[in-house]
Amino acid sequence: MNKVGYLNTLRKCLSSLPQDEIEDIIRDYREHFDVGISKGKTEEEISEELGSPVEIAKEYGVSPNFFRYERVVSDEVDNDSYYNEEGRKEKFSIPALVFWIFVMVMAGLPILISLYAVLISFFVTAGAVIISGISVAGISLFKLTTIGVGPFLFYFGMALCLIGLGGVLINFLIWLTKKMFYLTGSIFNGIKRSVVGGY
Amino acid sequence: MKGVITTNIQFKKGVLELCVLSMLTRRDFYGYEIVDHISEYITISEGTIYPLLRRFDKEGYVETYLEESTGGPARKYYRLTAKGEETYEELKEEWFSFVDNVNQLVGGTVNE
Repeated sequence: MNKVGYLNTLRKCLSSLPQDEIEDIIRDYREHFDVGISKGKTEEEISEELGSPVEIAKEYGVSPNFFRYERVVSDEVDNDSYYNEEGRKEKFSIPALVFWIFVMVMAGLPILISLYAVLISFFVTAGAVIISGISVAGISLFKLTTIGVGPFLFYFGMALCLIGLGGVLINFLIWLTKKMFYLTGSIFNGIKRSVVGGY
Repeated sequence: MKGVITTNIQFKKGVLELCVLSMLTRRDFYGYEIVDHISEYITISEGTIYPLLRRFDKEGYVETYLEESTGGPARKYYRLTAKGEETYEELKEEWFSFVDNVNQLVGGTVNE
């Protein structure tokens, strides 16, 4: 890990402490890096020698529980070994993968697929409402001379209502679709996290 | 490497305190020097020396001051206080009596 990555990780690990204390501590480690670099060491060497930011934070009085609930490690640290002491899964886990495939095939996918099917049928419905509105409007306009102005206004008004209703419905469905995509994404992310591990 | 000590962590922490205090009886040092020097003798995650220095500061064993350096960042120096010196003497005595006792127990290693 480089200097910036290390200091950022350390800062996150310390985040339960008062702000001025964090700044003070980070200052010390920044100095350590700068002196080390001026003596010809690489940032990676220095990070390695300093050891786990999690362990350091514990030395400063951060409760070990903190690391169980907080996401403290940034993405760039994912492939480092600093979290190993925390018992986090970092390697690809076959049992987890098998478990999730089972759950998804048995429960997840059927539910997801049917939800999407319902969603699509709603879209079709909304589409039908709009098309019927347009056709009613068209026909009433076409038959204006035979049915007279009164009935024409009635049908035409109904048609406009249908088109408006369809539009509102489509808007709502677009919102619903976004939510569905988000939900699906979260499910697959969660599974990925439990299989590949880390954050 | 000079007879590097690799023992359990709790024990090392106690010893570490004594070593750092002992260094500071000679002169003021800045963090990197302390870490560098100590890790020459004791295998430890170097990052854990700074928490110890901070604790020393809070407990009044050391005082810190910043000093500019040529072509580098300002360095935080640690200076032993009278209280720190007292603590050092106590820890040192404890350490020597501990070592004596262990030597006697283990036997063999001591001249009889």
